[in-house]
Amino acid sequence: MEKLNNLTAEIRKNELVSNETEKMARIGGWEYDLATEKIYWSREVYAIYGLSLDVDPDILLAVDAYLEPYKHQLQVAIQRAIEDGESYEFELQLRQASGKVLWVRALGKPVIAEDGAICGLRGTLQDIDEEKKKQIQLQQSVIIISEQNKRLLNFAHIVSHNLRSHSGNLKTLLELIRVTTDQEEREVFIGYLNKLSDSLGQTIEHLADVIKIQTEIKTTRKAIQLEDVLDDTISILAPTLDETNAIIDADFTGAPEIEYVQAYIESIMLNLVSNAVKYRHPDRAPEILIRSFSKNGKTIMTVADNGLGIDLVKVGDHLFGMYQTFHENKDARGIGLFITKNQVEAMGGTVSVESTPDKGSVFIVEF
Amino acid sequence: MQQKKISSAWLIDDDKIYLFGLRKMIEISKRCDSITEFSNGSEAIRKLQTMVDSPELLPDIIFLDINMPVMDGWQFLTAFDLLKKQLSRQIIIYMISSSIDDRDIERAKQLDAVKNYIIKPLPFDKLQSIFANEIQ
Repeated sequence: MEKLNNLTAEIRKNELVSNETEKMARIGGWEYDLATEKIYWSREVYAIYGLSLDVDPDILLAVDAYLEPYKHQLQVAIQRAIEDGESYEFELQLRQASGKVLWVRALGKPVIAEDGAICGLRGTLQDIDEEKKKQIQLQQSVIIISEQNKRLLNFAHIVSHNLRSHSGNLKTLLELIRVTTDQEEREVFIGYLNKLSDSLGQTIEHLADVIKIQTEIKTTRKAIQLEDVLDDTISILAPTLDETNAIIDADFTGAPEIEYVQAYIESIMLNLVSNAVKYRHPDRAPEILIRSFSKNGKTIMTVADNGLGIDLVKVGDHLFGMYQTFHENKDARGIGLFITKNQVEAMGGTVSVESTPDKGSVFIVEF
Repeated sequence: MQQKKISSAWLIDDDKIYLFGLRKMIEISKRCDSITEFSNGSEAIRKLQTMVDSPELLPDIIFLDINMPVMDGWQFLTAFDLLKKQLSRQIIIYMISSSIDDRDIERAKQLDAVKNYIIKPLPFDKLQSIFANEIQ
């Protein structure tokens, strides 16, 4: 009798230790018997499913808790384990009884009876929600950082190239001033030095604009009506629009409002509309079609024109580059689309273009 | 003794200050009779096309920038390559750019049409030695 008591105490102790271990590691065990179709869960498996211990689990209940596409993945794996004796190990998402979604690691392998036949499955279930979320966050950080790094490298390249061309000119002009003996010619060179100083100042201002994009991103987004932004743009461009007899046809009913940095959306709208006018076709008045709509949860705005168009095969990636201009247009500075692209991308969006030379262009902004 | 000269040089660059500086340096060197400026590759190609039947008007040497609007230096070289067979005289091309990007330098070296790649600014003595070389 005493022996039995000791044994019972020993079992209780083991059970306690095992329950505590499970709880700490957030890992539970389960077993599925093929003949009876009965499932046994340890305490921690109940905890992970968020169910009380009096629930009698079956295979349907066990599998139904998983979110797609994981549920399907698990069903296929269970089938394989039963039929072919293959083990599985997955990281899956499971919806608890309370509705909370958890990341879990599910491991299963076949149980072989004495006669060699597969008589059931056995496995573990571990709550890896915290680790998995951290891991996902880390992966996202890596993507963001490498994108920022790419932008930074690109920026360093722009800085080096644009400042180098000015410093080269400065050197050349100074050398000319040194070499020349003609006083009048020297005056001309000094005139060019003045021009150089102006354009250097402008380059530095442009670079500052680009840096500002990176810092302004921290300012808060707010709800903005696209209609209002367009109205502002139209009043800024009124003289040019009148002069060119431009027609603007805007319809924002598909997505009237966006959450954005005010200065950015103003600049994006101004750039796209003024480009549509600036690169108008000589034979016709500019017609600008502006639309906004929602697609896959994102707001999209398109600005279409009937202007000169761009040969995208020739121009390619350069279209959005700094100081890249493609038409023989005196107003072209090659800064507008570069700033637009940087602003849109800094907010996590994209900007793209479709165009036919001589027909017109469509700029597509995905906010 | 009269110094030998190059008869015609073309400068293709969209940077007006640079064009002015380079023109002045060439003038000071007194090694070249005629200097013509183009603000992008497309203007220069169009001019070359008109000279297919009059080789005496073709330039001896071209100083070519990379980054230009409308048609950049690379696109100019592609167009030039197609036109080259119709031109009865060889034209020496120097690429001169502010780009210190290795990819640009390597790319220029790969091209037969390009004699050399020079990073801006082109110093006066370097210009002198280019002319001295090409005159021989």
